[in-house]
Amino acid sequence: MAPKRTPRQAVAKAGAVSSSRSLATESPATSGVSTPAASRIPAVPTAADTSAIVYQAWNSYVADTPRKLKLVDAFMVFLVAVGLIQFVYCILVGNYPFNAFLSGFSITVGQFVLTASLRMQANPNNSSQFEKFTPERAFADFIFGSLVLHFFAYNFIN
Amino acid sequence: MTPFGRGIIRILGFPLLALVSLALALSTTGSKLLVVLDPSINKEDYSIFFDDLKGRDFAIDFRNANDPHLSLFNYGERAYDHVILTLPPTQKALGPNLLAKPLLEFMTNGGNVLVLLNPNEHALGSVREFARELDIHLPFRDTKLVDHLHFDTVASPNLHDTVILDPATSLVAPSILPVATSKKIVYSGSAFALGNNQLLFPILRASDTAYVYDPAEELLASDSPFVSGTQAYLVAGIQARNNARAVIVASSSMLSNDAIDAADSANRELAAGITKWTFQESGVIKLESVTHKLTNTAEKNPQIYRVKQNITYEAEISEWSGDNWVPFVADDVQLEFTMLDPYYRLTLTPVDANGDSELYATTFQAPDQHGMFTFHLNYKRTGLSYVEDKRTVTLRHFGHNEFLRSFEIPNAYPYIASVVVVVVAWVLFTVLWVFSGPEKVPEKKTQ
Repeated sequence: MAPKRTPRQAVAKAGAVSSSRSLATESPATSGVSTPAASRIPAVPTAADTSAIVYQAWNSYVADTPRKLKLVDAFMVFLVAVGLIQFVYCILVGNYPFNAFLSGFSITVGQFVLTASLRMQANPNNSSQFEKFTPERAFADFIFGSLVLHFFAYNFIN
Repeated sequence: MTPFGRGIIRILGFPLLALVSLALALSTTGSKLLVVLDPSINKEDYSIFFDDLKGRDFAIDFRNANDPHLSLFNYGERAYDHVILTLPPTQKALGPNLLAKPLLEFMTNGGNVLVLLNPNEHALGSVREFARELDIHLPFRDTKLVDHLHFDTVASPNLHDTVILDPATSLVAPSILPVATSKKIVYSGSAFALGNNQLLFPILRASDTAYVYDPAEELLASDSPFVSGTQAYLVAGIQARNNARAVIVASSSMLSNDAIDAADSANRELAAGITKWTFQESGVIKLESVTHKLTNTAEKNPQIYRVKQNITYEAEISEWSGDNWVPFVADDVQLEFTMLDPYYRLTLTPVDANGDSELYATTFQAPDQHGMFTFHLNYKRTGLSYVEDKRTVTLRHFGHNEFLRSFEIPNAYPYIASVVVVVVAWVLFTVLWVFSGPEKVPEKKTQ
């Protein structure tokens, strides 16, 4: 869990930096009074803190994640987007051919679940929990499950 | 009728037309008429009334009430189509064949009964019982209907018991009895009360200021008369569920020559109207045909429909005009499409008069509910024959191959597109996964 610890430390550092910066912008006369408050400030991150956190997280993600897992994540984001679009369309236009809606929506959800399973099993950090299953075996399971899912979705469209 | 004949009628106007149609009129159920008459009643006193009936093709059989061979039935069949009962004042009973039970049985078999109560006597037990079966309550004996404001000054200057009725206010069912309103109805006798029988309806009633009293104990009766005002009925009719008709007239004197010959009297038209309605010459309608089908198809009366199909229902109704069947036009004929409850109650519109009947039609979409449904035409109006027809059909649900396919519904395109997109993206993903190479994975594994 080393990669996760790194961003947390970065956040703590960034919070300290930004809070000291914000103190500097306040009037120097009150700085003496606000000294006890300074220890409390890092608990309330500002907008700048948040962007810094996201930036740090993104950087560590780009640096530390294997390429295959990035591919998996891109596919999952795509599935979430397609599912959200359908959900919004269903609310706005209606679910009239209900089986078509179920088919379209459930293929995104089902594919998302299958892909998440693949990611868990293929993630080298989890290899201790999946000693019996190689990533190749996980990928074969994923292919098989997906084909079954696509078969059902196609039949369910009517 | 020849064109020449029609021209004459047009020239001479309505009274002659009324007389001609009177002469041609014929009952729809038969012409055998039994008149139960007491010898003490002088037939000549009612000659105009009976001559009018003979002029309408009735074969009248005058019989004495205590005739031992008199029977309403012959080998279990009705021996007559219609009966006129006049109450004999000289006898205690009408005889065993004219009890209430045979009279009701006669009506059950489709016969029509006209009862003329005697103005001077109480009703006999059997007729009283017959009337009570119809929910008509006859007055006590020796009672009189008087009206101290509208009476015949010549016939009853002191007792005021020959009353003058205005048809405009007294005729409760003008659709059954059209009487010219300029004339008056002369009446002397008693009046009866009506119960709550829903098949029963009044035809003629007394005026607001009339009441029934007993001359023998005038003071007592005036305090609480048997019936008074517009609750005192003089003529009432009933049409049984089999369309047999019965009419009770509270006083036969209304149909006597004296009353008919009185100045400005409407009694003759009243008598004609009463007998025509009673003996099925007027107010007779019938259902000629019923068809139901899928809209814009030829097959008639199929046994099965599917939910949400468009169904056209047609019915032909004709009316007896006196000598032939003519189209019957009304705007309140309704069709019910029922399964336990009516799912639809639709007013049928008269669309076409073809020959002797009027064609009613309506088109509706079958409800989204499968089961056994009934086309129920139920037309029951006061003074008209009852018309009822039931046709049961099956309403089936959609077959599994009768729904629209998704690709025929534009709404479904985004859903179909998303399935396709996901499958394509998945294929792309697997290809990329296979060929992305494992170069970074070992590094991670070593960590």
